[in-house]
Amino acid sequence: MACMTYEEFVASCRVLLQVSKELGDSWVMCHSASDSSTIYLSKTQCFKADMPTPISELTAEKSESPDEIEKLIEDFTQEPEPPDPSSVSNSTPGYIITYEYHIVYSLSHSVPALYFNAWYASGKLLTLQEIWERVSNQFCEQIADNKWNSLTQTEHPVLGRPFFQLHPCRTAELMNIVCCESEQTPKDVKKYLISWLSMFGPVVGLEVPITYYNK
Amino acid sequence: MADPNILQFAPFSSAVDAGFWHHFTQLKLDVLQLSEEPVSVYGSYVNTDPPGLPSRLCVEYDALNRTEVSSKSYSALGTLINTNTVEEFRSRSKPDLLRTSAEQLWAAITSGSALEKPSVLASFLMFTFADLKKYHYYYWFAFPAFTLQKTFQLVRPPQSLATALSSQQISSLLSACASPGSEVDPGFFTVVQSGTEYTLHPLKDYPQLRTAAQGTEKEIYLGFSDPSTLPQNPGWPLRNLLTLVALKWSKEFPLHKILCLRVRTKNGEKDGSYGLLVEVDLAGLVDCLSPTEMPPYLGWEKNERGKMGPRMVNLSANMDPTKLASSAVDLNLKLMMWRVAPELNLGIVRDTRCLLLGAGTLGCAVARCLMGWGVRNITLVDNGKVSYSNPVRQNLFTFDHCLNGGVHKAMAAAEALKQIFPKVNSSGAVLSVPMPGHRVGESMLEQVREDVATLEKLVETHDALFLLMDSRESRWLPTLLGAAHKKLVLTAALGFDSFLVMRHGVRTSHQDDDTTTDTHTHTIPRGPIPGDMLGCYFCNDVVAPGDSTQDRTLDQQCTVTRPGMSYLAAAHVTELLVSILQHPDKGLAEAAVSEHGGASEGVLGPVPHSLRGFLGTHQLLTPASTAFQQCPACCDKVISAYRGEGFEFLLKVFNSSTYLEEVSGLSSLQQCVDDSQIWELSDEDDSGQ
Ligand SMILES: [Zn+2]
Repeated sequence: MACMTYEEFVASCRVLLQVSKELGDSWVMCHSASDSSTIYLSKTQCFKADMPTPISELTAEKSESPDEIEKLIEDFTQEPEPPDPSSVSNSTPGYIITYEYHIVYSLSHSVPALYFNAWYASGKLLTLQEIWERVSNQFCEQIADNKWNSLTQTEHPVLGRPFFQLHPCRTAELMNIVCCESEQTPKDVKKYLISWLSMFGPVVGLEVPITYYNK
Repeated sequence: MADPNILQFAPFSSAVDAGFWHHFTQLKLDVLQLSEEPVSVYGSYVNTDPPGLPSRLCVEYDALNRTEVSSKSYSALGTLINTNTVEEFRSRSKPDLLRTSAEQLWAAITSGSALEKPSVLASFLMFTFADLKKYHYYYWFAFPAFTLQKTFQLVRPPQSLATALSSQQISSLLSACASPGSEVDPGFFTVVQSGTEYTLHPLKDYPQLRTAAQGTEKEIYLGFSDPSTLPQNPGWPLRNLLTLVALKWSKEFPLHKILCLRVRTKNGEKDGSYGLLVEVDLAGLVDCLSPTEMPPYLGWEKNERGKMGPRMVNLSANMDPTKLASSAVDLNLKLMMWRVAPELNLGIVRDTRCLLLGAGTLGCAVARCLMGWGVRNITLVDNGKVSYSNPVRQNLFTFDHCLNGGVHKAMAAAEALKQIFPKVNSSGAVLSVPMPGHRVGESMLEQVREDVATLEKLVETHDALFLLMDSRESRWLPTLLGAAHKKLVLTAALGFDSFLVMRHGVRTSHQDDDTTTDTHTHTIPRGPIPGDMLGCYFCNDVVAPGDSTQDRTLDQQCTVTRPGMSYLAAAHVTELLVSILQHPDKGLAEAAVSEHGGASEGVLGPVPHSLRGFLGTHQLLTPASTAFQQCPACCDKVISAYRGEGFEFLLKVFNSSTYLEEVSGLSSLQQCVDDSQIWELSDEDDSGQ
């Protein structure tokens, strides 16, 4: 099984970080506040969804009256400012979603694990349901077929806040296949994290450029 | 159509990081409290976005206590003004708020401090109100800019760098930007081009460099990191830069070339070709600008509705502890579904309203176990009070519940459930269940009538009944009511080291239609027994429930069950309910007669009729039996008598120990009295009365 020790994980993280820097990618290393020897990698990325802003998602919970809040906001609304010939109207439809990805070491499975959160421009987190809706059909089937086991919400092992996670329980098994195919030894820490990331990242919108392999 | 000769800027869109509101809430509670003084907030923007994204001004999670931004982004200095009330948020003059920001910006431009610290040109205002009880946040961003009397005139349409520069020049420009030097603000700067070589210099050096370059090959540009991704429009920061340039330098240099730097990384390669070269003629602005006279200003951001109004975000799902607990509980259950049993229907479990008759050892343990399954509606019925011996066995009670004579168990248990999980809808009813053969005196008649009515109402408004009381005859009325109202009824009873858990047969409408026919015959099936033919707790007894307290062979005064029995039985009876709910036939699910099974399975397997556990031998049996046609609790005759006469029928049963046997026809069958293996035992040391 293609497992890795924590030391190998750290070494592999440093390799990924170096390549990221060379390629102008934005991975950074973070340390646990309580124990600085616990590290994880983090990257933030924005997507634009080409749909109208889901105002209901931003304002009211189901149990509350969206009308009331609508009214309140309406109440606050000011007279429009005079037309401004120097600004281009920012009327492109759609809304921004920010994803924050973390590569964390899974102690119980001895493999890297991918954690992530996603939020609207207001700072409101996407629900699991909304995350699922954004996973492309191709991967939905794979997840459903248990290939990736599951996409779940769970507590971040370092931050202790809820994050989404691609569950790592079959990572070692899948990585074993990859490592054998490319005739790498499981201990080839340089490529491990990059191979792993290119396999699991795309499921949740995290593309790994092919150039990562060439460096 | 926009005038092609006018330079138009792409406004910022605000983007708040998920963690920001957490930090903001802490700051409000710990530091700001009721202060409405402005506080600093550090925003940032990037020039690396792919096409299609609006230019975002991000307020990251640490925006309130950071001092610098990451190397990948550019600083924007913000001011946050929070109001304490919604009225204040509404009534505060928005033009006044913006004026204060604009005045600061104007002062920085006129005094020249913006040249030393150009990031002030990207300053912003954040006006907020936080309803911390609801976790509702109202916020409104403003990105102040000035509307000059005349617009910025283009010399020619903005060109992409791909057109304006050679690829060699672009890559030289990018590498100059990658290491701008410590003197140079990475957001706003001067660019010197010499052939294909580019160097970056501080913004304030621009006029000297322009003068020095006159008559040379060198070309001097204004440069800024451009958050816009539009092909014709630079981002908002340039607007204030050009206002500064118009005021400070345009008398001398009316024409300016601006490099709007955008860097995209594609396949690991940096690409600067999407940047813009903008050429403006500011000659017309020179005369209409005076440092002493601030031009009109604007900058409030439109909301998602495209209106001049605030935005609101409801973060209760992310921040309210009770909602977090609730979603964590749901999540835990969903994990079970995702990982083990994808067919599991958690909704049906959650929505099953459970009525627990008895809030003792069994009632407490069953209630907790139901909560573990996500059941949200639990009502407990008991007339007892918590006594000193209870808390060690009855896991919803503590020592304090026993003091001063003890609190009512039903109420204490319902309250304890809420403390464990605030989202549970739990309630208690203090009520004694009337029993057959327990005569109702005149003085008690109205009370009993009321109790029966209450119980009838409770049965009607719940989906599943748990009979968890400690005497056999107290189960009679709920058994009858459950059968008459076609509810799921489950029984758990304890012996010293044995327990019985069973589900009662569920009546169908078809059976109701048949009640008039005495010839109605049950064909005893050879295979599994369908759910509507299964017996109830009393079907196996050949004696009608009477005043069994007289016949008790075991001493009711002491606690005589092994302490683990109640947990075993409570766990089994809860899981039995869930197994029923996860079976496609629900209460009508058939039960296997023999140990070899053969009954159809639900998501959680087959659903037995009963479980009999023997701790002495560590055995668990799952026998099944059909309904008994002379059953004193569930047979057609008894149910139709109840339906016909209502309380009057019940009263006759309470007052006579033989009436029930006559109605059901049991008296003709009665032979010997042999209580089952399962004794009705109390774990109360003080309940004998
Ligand atoms: Zn019966």
